Order: sequence, then structure tokens, then C-alpha cells
Amino acid sequence: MTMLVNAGYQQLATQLQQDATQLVVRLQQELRHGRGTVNHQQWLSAALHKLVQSSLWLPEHYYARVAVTKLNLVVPLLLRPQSATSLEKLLTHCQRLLQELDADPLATLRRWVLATFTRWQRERLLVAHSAHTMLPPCAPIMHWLHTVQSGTVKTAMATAELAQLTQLQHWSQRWQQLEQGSAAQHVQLQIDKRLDNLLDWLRQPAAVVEVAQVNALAAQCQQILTLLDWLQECKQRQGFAQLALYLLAQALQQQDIRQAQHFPFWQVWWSFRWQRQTHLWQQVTPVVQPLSKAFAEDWQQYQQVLEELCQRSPQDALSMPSLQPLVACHYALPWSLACVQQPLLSLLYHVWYRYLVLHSQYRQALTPHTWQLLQGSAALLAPERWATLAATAVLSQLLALLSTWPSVAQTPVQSVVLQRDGTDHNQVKIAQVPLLLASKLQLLSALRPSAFATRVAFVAQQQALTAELRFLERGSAAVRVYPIERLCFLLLELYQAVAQQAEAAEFPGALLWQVHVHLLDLLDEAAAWQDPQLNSAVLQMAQAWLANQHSSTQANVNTSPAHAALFDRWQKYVQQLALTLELTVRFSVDCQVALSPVCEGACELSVQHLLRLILLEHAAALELRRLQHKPSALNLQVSMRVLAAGVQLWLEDDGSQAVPSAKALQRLQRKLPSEVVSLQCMPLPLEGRRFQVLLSA
Amino acid sequence: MTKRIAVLVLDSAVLRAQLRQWLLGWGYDVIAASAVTDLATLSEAPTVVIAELITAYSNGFKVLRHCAAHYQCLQLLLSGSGRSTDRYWGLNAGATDVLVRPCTQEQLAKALGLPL
Repeated sequence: MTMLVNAGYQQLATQLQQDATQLVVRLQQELRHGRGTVNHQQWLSAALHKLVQSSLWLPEHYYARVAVTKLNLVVPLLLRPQSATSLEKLLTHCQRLLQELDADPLATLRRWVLATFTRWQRERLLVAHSAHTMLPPCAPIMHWLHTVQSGTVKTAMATAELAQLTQLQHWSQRWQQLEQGSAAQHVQLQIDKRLDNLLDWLRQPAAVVEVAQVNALAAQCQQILTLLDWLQECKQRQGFAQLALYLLAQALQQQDIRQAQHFPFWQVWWSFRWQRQTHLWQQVTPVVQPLSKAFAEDWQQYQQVLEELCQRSPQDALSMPSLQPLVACHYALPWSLACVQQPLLSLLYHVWYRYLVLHSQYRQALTPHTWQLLQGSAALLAPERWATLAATAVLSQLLALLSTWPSVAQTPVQSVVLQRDGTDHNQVKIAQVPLLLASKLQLLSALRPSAFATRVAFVAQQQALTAELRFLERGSAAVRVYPIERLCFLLLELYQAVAQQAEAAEFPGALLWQVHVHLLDLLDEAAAWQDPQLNSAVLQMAQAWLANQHSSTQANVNTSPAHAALFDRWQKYVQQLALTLELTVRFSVDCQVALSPVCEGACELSVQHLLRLILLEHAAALELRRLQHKPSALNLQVSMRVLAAGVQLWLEDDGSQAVPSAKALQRLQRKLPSEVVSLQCMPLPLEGRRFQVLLSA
Repeated sequence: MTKRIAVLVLDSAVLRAQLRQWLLGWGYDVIAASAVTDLATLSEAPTVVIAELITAYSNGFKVLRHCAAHYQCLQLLLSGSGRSTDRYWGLNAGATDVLVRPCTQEQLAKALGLPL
């Protein structure tokens, strides 16, 4: 029974094929003779109707039924008077039909299309689709394939695009089944060979990018370019060129290739090639059209910033403008490009953005040289250049520029000391400092106004808060965010002054909260690559309060009341020197001994001499200290102990580990009072040094 | 059904258009803001605030801190670089989640607690 049914279906299908062929021949005649008369059109409609009715008897999967359904879509359009728009629409239908049908009887229709429409019409509409080889349009499919794979617009995708994907799969299968020894297979082998070479090269380990390596990449790329150019030369081969690009893109999606160190440079090259190959700017599909309008807005903003950048020509380091607008624009641009179906161009901008971010991350000083580099790179990234330069030329120029960009690896200081007293983070790589700060500063970020409402609430948090502030002070100096370092210093002074206040004194909760909020603002700006700006009003308010406190209490002094006057004089001496030398100094004294008047005088003079020496050295080495990513604030501590041999005096500073020579120490000792028995100096374990003075009792 | 308001603090027009499209599809009313000052003028409390890390007039952390102090709402930070620093500091500033661009519709839906 089944066999009988199948035989019946086969007979019907054959009949349909014959009828369809007759119909197409008739149609061809009609159109050759001026679109036909009304009678002829009626005949065609009736014949088509009969054909469709007959095809309905066939199962849905039968080819003849599908073909007739397609024909039913096309023929009515052919019978109507044609406008330019409908002609294009018609051709699109025909073209789709052609792509799907490659067997009799409807091959007749294919021949008819070729015979009926002029060569110009065919080329206008079918050139990109390689009519001769019947290959489907690759570039639009590639876009959709990419978006489907990345999952970005899956839900917005229409059925038509999914159908295109199916076509691509079918097409890829055809590619795999090429005849042995055919020209197409030869092309495939060539592509495979060059792809293997390129992928092997990309997999090579590379510590740094050198000119020789760039040339090697350019050579590999050039081989593939030559092949692609050869494929592009002839229309029959254009489909293969698109397919080669597709295979290349697929091969580069491999995990080990994506993680290879050469991959970013490949991406740059690839982006340019891709753009020049397919002119994607003109191929924005309807789904992304709303986004492309939005993109035009973003692009215009980017161009404005770029123009301003190129027009400015600062003469010295002091007149350098901020990079902030450029960083802000670049921050959004790669993503915007990806949204408007420009994934590879997006990668190009992302590579460039990495350099900008690195510059911001390490707060490297912008110099006229780096400014020129910025302008050069910006000019290279302008779209006008894409059309005028060869891909490899653009790549070489960009890499040449980037290789002269001040690299973090070239900086002499690679690590810093973040905590002097703790065991953790003694030596930290500068690159890790921002992450450490973000992860360690839990309390600073979590504090609420209630923590500053009363003295009791504040004191409960003070110790932990001070520790975080000290950590932040050193960290901000390490990453060269000086406004934060300065504010940390001020806050620590405030906390110290509050701790020394009398219980009955008014607690400055509102002021502390205000300065704290300002510090968080600065931290937020620094974390977002922006340039933190100190609020002078907040600073002045805090400094005024501190000045008022200093006049009523003795700051940073842990001493016996008997020598309060001596320590106050030291304090004033340090303040005066710091003011003259424009230094930030934190001075503290730890002394609980009783001194005779003679000894007190000798101590005062000795300490003053040493203080002057240290502060002068520090002032001379301040710039070096900044280059070493160290805090600009100098910590000085004086301690005294009474020994059997006399009074031992220590003066520690964290400014330098340089120990004066024995001769220099002898010269220094001669300047000190005659009570000084010995003078020594030794470096401290992590940083800083200690002067040790022994005075006779 | 309660009104759901999404506030977008983003500079990029593309990003705004993309997220707006998705959020409208999920039934949110979408309001665009450019800085913290715009947030202060909102007549109703937002359900979700999505802030980009770097903007011309502000930054995502400041926006999140403001929202954490004034509203009980979901706060999402969009980071372009995906650094761990962004994640840590974003969460410190009050972010519910930190998304790395380009985020997919599924990722955003998950962050908003919507069924996939």
C-alpha cells in the first residue's frame, strides 16, 4: 500500500514538474512580448491556481510542492506593472528562489532570470551574492552569525535571519564536499595552509612586542591578504573570499588563540581588513537602525573630543589638558560599536583604550611627547584613514606609536611599601595597589553619619579608621593620587587632635563627616579614572579648626608635663622649617623621662640640628620621593630613654634609608653640643633610618 | 500592578537605547539621568538604577552612593573594563551587582531578578 501511495505521489510530482515547465515557458514568452494581454494574464493565473491546487495533494516535504509554492509567490508579481521598487523586490524573490533551486524543472526559471534581466540589473542586485556560483550573501549572514553566537540580539532576531543561518550551514557543508582536484578545493587547501601558519605564529609565546615580531605578523597577514585579493579579483571567486574570511574568523575564536599574547595585535589588523573588505558602515540592518541613530550621536561626541585633542598644542607639561574627556568617550565607544554590529572595529578601539586606561591607572604625567603620541594615534583611528591606508600599513604605524608609549614596565619602581608595621603588604606591586585599596578599605566606605554623631561612637571606630587612612595615604601616594594623599594627612591630623581634646570640649562631628564625605568623593573619582579635585572650602574649614586646636593643646606629644615647653619648642621649630621648605611633616615625641636643665639644653640643640639636617635632605629629595611612589608626608619621631651611661636619644624618619658616612657623622657630631658622647645612624628594616645620640648624664 | 521605574545614568546614547529597549520590554518605565543632581529631582522612588562607571559629569560610584543613601532599590553598575577593582569598589559603594559590558539581555534580566 505504501509503495502504491509513493508511486502515486511520484507520478503527481512529475506531472507538476511538467506543468511548471510549461508555465515558465509561457511566462517567458509573455514577458518577452510586453507583459502580455489581459487574457494571457488570466490564463497564467488559472494555470498557476491549478498547479497550486494539484501540489496540495503532495506531502509537505516533497520538493515539487515547495517549488510550486515559491512559484506562486513570484508569478503574480511578474504579472503586475513594475515600478523600480517592486522590481527590486521581485528580484530579491527571484534571487532567493535561485539560491534554493538548483534542479529541474525550475532551473528553467533560473535561466529565464539570466536571460530576461539585463546584465546591469543583475550585477546591481546580484553582484554581492555571486550569482554565477549561486553562493549566498556571506557578509550579512556573518553579522547575524556573530550576534547569534554572542547572544546579544537573540530575542530581537527575526525568523529570516535564522533561515539565513541555516543557509550558511548548508553552504559550509558544500564547502566540505568539494570535488577532488577542483579549483575550489585548491583554494580551500591554500586557505587552510595559510591559516595554519598564522595560527602557529599566534600561538608563539611573546613577552614583549618587538618590531621583528610585528614584521612577522605583517608577513603572515600579507600572505592571507594576497590570497584574499586573488579571490576578490574575479566574481566567480568572490564567494570563496567571503568564506575564507569566515573560516579565518572561526579559527581565531579558538580559546588558546584568544588568550595568545599576539592576539590583540591580530585583532587590530583584522579590524582594518574587515572594514575594508565589506564596507560594513553601509550595511546596518533594520534591527540595529535605531541603535545606529544613537551611535551617530556617540560618534559625533567622540569626533568633537578628537578634534579638540588634535587642535590643542600645549607647549609644556604645566599646560597639559586633562585626558578625562577622551577616556570618558573611549570608555563607551567600543561597546557602542559592538552594539551597531561592528564587533571587530570595536576590538580595535578597545586595544587603544587599554593604553589610555593604563596611562590613567598609573597617573603617568602627560608630557608634550605623550601628547604628540596621543594626537598621532587619534589621527590613525579616524575613519578617513581606513580607506586610504593598507591594513598592514595602519597596523605598523599604530604599533610603532604604541611602542613609544611610556610603558609601566619601563618605570624604575615596580613595588612599594604600603604598611610599615604590619606583616602583610610590605612590598606590593604598584599595579596591584588599586585592587588592594578597593578590597581593604571596607570601613571607610561603609561609615554612616551616625559614626560621627557622638564622641563615643567615633572613638569606637577611630583605631580601625586610622589604620585604613594610613594605608590609604601610602596607597594613594603609590598610585600618585596626591589630592587623596593630602586629604588623608589632614584627616589623620584631625583624628589626632580630636583624640587629644578634653572630654568636655565640643566634638566636631559635622566637620569630620564633611571631610569624610569629601574623601569618599575623591576616592570615587579616582576609582573611575577621573582626576580628583580637592574642595578648598572643606580644606580651609578643617585647617582652621586644627589651628584653633593647636593653639590650645599640644599636638602629637606624649611627654611628661615637666618638659612640655621643650617639646612645644621642637614642635614649633619643625612647623617653621616645614613651612619654609613647603613640606608636609608629621612630628611626634615619646618621652617620659626627667632631664636635668643642662641635659635638656643639650637635647634640644641636638634634636634641632638633626631635624634641620633631615628636613633639608627631605626637601632636596622630594621629587625623587614622588618618583619612587612614596608619600610626600615625612614622619618624624623623637624618643628618649635614660640609661646608666647617660641619656639615649633616637630620632627616626621614614624619608630615606641613606646613612651618612662615618666622616659625615663625625662632622655632624662636632656641630652638636659637647655633651654628645656618640652619634650613630642605621637604616630601618623596611624604609627610613634612625639617628642614635648618647648624651652624658 | 505596581509601577516599576528604571533610572539610567549613562552617557552613551547607544547604551541608553539598548537598555531602554530591553527594560521597556520588561514593563519598566525608563527615565534617563545624567548626574546625581538629576536623581534628586525624581518624583517617585526608582525600582532600579543602572549607572555607567564613567560619565562626563559624574561617575557610577557617586550615583550608587547617593541611591544607597536615599532609596531602597536595585543598583547596577556597568563596568567597561571588568576590573576586580570596579567590582570591589562598586559593591562598597552600594551596588547590588556589577555587570561587565557588553552585557547580554539574559545577564541584565538575571541581575534584575527577572525570569529568563
